[in-house]
Amino acid sequence: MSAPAVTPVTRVIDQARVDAYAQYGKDPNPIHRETPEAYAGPFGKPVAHGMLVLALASEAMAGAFGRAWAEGGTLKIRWRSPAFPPVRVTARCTPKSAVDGLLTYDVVCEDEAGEALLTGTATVRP
Amino acid sequence: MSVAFTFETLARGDVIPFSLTITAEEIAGYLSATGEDPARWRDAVPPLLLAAFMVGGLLARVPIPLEVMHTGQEIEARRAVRPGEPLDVRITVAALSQRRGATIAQFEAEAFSGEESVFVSRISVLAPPPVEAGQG
Repeated sequence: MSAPAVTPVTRVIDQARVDAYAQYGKDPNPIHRETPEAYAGPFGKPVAHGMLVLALASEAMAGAFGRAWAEGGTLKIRWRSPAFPPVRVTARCTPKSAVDGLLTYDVVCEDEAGEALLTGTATVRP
Repeated sequence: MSVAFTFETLARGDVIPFSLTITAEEIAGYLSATGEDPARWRDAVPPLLLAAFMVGGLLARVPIPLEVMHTGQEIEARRAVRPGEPLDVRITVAALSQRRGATIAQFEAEAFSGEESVFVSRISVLAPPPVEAGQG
């Protein structure tokens, strides 16, 4: 069995989406919102939640594998660059290997310029 | 909620426990924020939502300085979690080190349903070196 292709997920992450994620993702850190703390913080302006960017990679894997992703999927990533809203993010999961039924994918979330915001690997056993 | 820990005084081996039950309404809100189609998540909690709420549980119990950066994340789903299923979460300070003045911490968060381990999340953060007086 070879690892099947996974359809990329592309979405605009704008400030409204970041604000909604702050509420519903339970991460109210003010550096993600239009606050004085964000402009005085390490990035000098609001930055999207890394977990919001990563959610697109999880969505791509869930789209390809459905419940198997929730039953036994894994992700291991590192963030490479901050994502400043508004940003058009694409999550790509590229087949890497298929060994004894375990499918492994290279994962990247990149901005519209092709800069990697995060990289890593995902595995699933369909 | 009382705060029993601070980021500055965390020690390797510290355990931060809490209970977590994710409702269908919380799933709907989360998916409306991320933009994902909710149709596939009617009977299971999205794995990344679970990881996010574990991070949220950590942030609610350990005040994290604004300059601390979330640098890495691992998730490991062991089975699907159902909406409304009560979980016990244990977050352990798995590693704590200093490098060139920066503090690097790793947290291992594990969710249990009864005695069954259902989900693991590993969270890496980096706190930059303190800015000396007169700098920045």
